[in-house]
Amino acid sequence: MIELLDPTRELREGKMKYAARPASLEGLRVALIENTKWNSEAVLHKIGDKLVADHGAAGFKVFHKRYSSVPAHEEIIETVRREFDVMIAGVGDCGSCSSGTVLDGILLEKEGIPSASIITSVFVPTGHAMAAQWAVPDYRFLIMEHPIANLTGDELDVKVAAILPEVVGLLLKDPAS
Amino acid sequence: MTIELESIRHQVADADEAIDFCFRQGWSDGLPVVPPTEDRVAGMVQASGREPDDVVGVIADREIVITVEKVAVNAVLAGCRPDYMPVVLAAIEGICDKRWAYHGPSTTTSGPAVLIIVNGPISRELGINNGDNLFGPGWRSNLTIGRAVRLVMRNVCGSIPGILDRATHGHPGKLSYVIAENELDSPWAPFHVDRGFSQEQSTVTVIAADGPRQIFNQLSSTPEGVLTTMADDMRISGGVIGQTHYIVLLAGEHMEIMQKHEWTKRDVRRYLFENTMNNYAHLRRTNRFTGPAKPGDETRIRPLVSNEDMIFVIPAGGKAGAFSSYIPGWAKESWSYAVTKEVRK
Repeated sequence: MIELLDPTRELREGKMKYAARPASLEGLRVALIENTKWNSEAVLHKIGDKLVADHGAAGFKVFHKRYSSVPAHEEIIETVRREFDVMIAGVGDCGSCSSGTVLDGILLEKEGIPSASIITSVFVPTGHAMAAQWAVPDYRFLIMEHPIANLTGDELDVKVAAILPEVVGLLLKDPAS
Repeated sequence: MTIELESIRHQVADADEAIDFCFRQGWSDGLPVVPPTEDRVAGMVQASGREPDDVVGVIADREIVITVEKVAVNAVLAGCRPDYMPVVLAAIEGICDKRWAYHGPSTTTSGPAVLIIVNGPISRELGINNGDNLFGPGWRSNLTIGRAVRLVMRNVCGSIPGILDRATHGHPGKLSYVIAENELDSPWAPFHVDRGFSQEQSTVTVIAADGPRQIFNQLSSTPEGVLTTMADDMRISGGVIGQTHYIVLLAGEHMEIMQKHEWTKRDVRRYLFENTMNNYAHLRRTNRFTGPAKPGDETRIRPLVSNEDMIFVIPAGGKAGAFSSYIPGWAKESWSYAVTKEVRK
């Protein structure tokens, strides 16, 4: 019999504790955290417009990350925590930015801000793996069909229309409930 | 001295079963590993001169703490000799440095590896190859030190292909990508001296990097001639517009030409900087930048690197052959900066 030592780091187990959800988006301030990837700002802007026009949100502001591979920096997190009611992050369409976008949502939920992180379909395992690293493997994020970087404005409209009900649903209803 | 190790234990029947077990657990990079038994891991920790629970590095974006013990287990798996441990530890410190910014280069679809350049006396003590077949097979230290770093990334940091390592192609350097500089034959101060260390210190520099590209020039007898070939190949390479690091590895015959003409490293860097410029019109026509070429783009210049100091010139490679190589770094230098750490014994 031989005894082997385990080379891995044990992932902590846990469950996501989501921020308290509002009853509606009426009059709420929406933070949009874009990850600098091509078309991400366009997608988030279109979502912001819809939330204002169709759901009564008070307005939105776009925050830009330093670059795509990092989570939102502390100044963004702090400003959103202090001055906004809900947050949408996206669009994670690459390895490091999809997991970074998922992390934005986790960090802001921890700060008490209902959040929706959007990544593209081919990076779903990466999003889940990032959540597992943070001991919240059940963290719910949203999935947009890949790709988005090479699409026209009209094509993006179709994607936005498809995901909008999911964004609203995630911001208003605690996925754990 | 008793070394208390905290890792979970797994029981297997015998040595053959141990190797298969490691494969089944997903602990391997695809090659057979050395089974990490208590004695082997303890020997590795002991050689480090540190406690097993000493923290080597932290990756805040993943809430990861890497201990000497976990590095030791993975160094055993990789086939390291215990005296390689200080080099492996310095490399892990490097990739945990905030300036290296672990998450980006380890997770990106663009697939860089961790290029590890070892300088100073330790590179000779451990026999780290700086000559023939620079990137090739045959040197235990080159092959297992880089492998240990990659196994720590896999087993401790979660950098598993298709999961949290999304490289579309990656490259073979992701198995191991360790080189040394040919300091003894060089007319120049070694690379680590350029980076603020003394010649007597030993260091490890980690750089997120693409695979090497080789250039061939046996016709030139001047530095300008050799470097014109190098610059022409470099001009459209790597991310092109990102402005990252470039590592230029000049091998024996080309180094003799530099030496004969008394070119300094600065001369080499400057020549390459000035001869690797692109214009915006070309970068737009080839879809590196968006949109059609605008008036003035034909003469608007984009340097390949932000400044000439981002070209690292290092003598290395075999003495025979009119070949040299260059390696583009990943993305932008500000996204993952080359980090040098001292090897502490």
